[in-house]
Amino acid sequence: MGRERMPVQNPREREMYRYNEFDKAFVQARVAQYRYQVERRLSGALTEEEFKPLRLMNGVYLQLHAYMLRVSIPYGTLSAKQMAGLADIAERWDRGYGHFTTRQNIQFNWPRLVDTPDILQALADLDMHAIQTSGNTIRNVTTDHLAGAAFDEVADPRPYAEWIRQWSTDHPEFQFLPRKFKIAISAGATDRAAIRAHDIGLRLVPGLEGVAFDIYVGGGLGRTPVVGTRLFEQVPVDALLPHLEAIVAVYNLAGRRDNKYKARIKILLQSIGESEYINSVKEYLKHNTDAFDQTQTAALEGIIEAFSRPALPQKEADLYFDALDSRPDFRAWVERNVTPHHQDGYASVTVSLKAHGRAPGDATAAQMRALAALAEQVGFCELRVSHEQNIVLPHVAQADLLFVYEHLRAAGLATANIGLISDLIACPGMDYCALATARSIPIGQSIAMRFKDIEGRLGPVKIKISGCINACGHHHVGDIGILGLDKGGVENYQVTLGGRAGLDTALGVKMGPGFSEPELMLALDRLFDAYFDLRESPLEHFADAVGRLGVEPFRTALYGIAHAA
Amino acid sequence: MARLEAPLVVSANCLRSGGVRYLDTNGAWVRNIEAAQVFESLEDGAEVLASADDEAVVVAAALVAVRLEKGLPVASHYREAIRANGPGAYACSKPPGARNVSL
Repeated sequence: MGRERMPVQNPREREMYRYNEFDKAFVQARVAQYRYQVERRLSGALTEEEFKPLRLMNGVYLQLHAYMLRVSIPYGTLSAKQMAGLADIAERWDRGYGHFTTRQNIQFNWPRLVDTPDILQALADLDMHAIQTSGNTIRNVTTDHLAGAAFDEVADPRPYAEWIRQWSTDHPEFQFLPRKFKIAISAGATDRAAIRAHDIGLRLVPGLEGVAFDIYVGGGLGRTPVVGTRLFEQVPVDALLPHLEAIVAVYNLAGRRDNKYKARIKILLQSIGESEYINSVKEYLKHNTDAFDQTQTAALEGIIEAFSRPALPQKEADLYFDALDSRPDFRAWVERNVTPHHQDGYASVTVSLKAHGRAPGDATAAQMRALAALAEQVGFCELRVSHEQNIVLPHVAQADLLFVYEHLRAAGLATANIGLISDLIACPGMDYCALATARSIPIGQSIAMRFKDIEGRLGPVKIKISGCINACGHHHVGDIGILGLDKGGVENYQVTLGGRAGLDTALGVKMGPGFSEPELMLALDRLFDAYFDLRESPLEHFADAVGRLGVEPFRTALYGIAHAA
Repeated sequence: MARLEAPLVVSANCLRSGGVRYLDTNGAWVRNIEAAQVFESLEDGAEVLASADDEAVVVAAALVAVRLEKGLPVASHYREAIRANGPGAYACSKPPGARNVSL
């Protein structure tokens, strides 16, 4: 470990909402209810048709090889204890690893149905659950993985995400929506939560009194990708929940239920038009605003208090600056994986779950424990899951960065590739998912390995891979999007270019006929050769070059048209 | 998905574990596709599927197209090949001390 020193521990956990007695009782009751449901299914008292919606309401899917349990990680925030608990679950009831998802959750790919009640009990004991991680209901509210640490945010969005979680959990009116419903919230100058790719995207902005919300509606990827539109501006905090309720209620009443592919709110919005939708929401607001009284606002104040942000203790950072000079590997890791913090002397560390050749988003139980230990020792007991399938230690003193780096290296977690081509995201694809039409994880692994040696020269490139049209890998908003399809019984990969997430979200342009996996690798070779030829300088990133030149020269390269001529 | 064509086998997932199963010639649910009973027509397969679809034991029972190699059934579509052989993307080996989960 070289010049390692043990950092001074700060046992104080901070900035997290803790379950109250109501939360605990609710989750424990759901476990007991689910255990009885499983018993009745196994005894034959429930048919599969009767049982399936019940297990799905508790996050239990049946996938290709096994059941899959999707565990909710509200707004991607985890305590060290919870991360260690997930490691225990992975070892005791799964195959020793977990998969962190593009919606900031974790999935276990191999649980047995008979074990799922015990797993949910273990989760409940950690103040966790799997409720509303499936089904046509409001799913986990996601947010910026740097929330509460980012230097560019108007306010910490997590208290509002927690407020929305409490409002939406077991909401009696919204358990059977026309389709699943996703909400994301962001508060930074940069949108790191892809809010315009969600059914509702919330942006915290400066308001007349403190903060307010801009509300984007009707975004979503999938088979009909749509960029969300800002329908409401400067919504005061105390009007947020009435607005959300009105937006969802109008959708619940008017959304299509006859065709699941036409059932998302984006289709309703396209069908009736923005102005009619806004009028319907405003009409609804006349009736529901009174239902939200001071109780909700008082609850929010309590939640904000739970996320309070005390000043972090200052530490002497000489060792850190020395190491930057003397350790090129450490410096490279800092440059790629460490982000400025709102407080001087601190930083946020993004731990890559994309070691070259590994499945994006997977972490072994041992790695989860290593992360939990680091969070406990130098991270104020807090971790985040990013929608790009990495783990974040949001608050680390610069003085502790070398300590973190050395321990991550020991755990195989120190890959310095954040933002580079190997930091790609990929849905589980056909290796696991029953809906998939092609594999996505092996494509990601192949890309990471193939371009490993030139990824520094390539610079930032966002590749996003989906194994079916449902777009869980967000391929529409990748610099390079890859969509795996079944074409006559053979895997076929379509490429899109020019997509991006963020406030200026754009959908990628489909390039043309798809490729087999070997063809895809050769096509990417040509694409990157063209980028090297066409970029103005090494400082012009791939996305910027595509933006400046348009997609045509890159389409030509992708298909090798110049070579064929 | 292409239209189902014989030869076919009956496959499902085990209710208790979720693991992949195939119906063998004795009417038992087994793990190995090579031990599955092969049906030479859609009608024969559908008839057996209907009688074998026991919800107390398995879920999601369905006919699966195969081809025969040395007389033994092999999945003909890559989806079923992945079901039969496991994910090709095993990222993480089982850590020392972790419990085996048998599906």
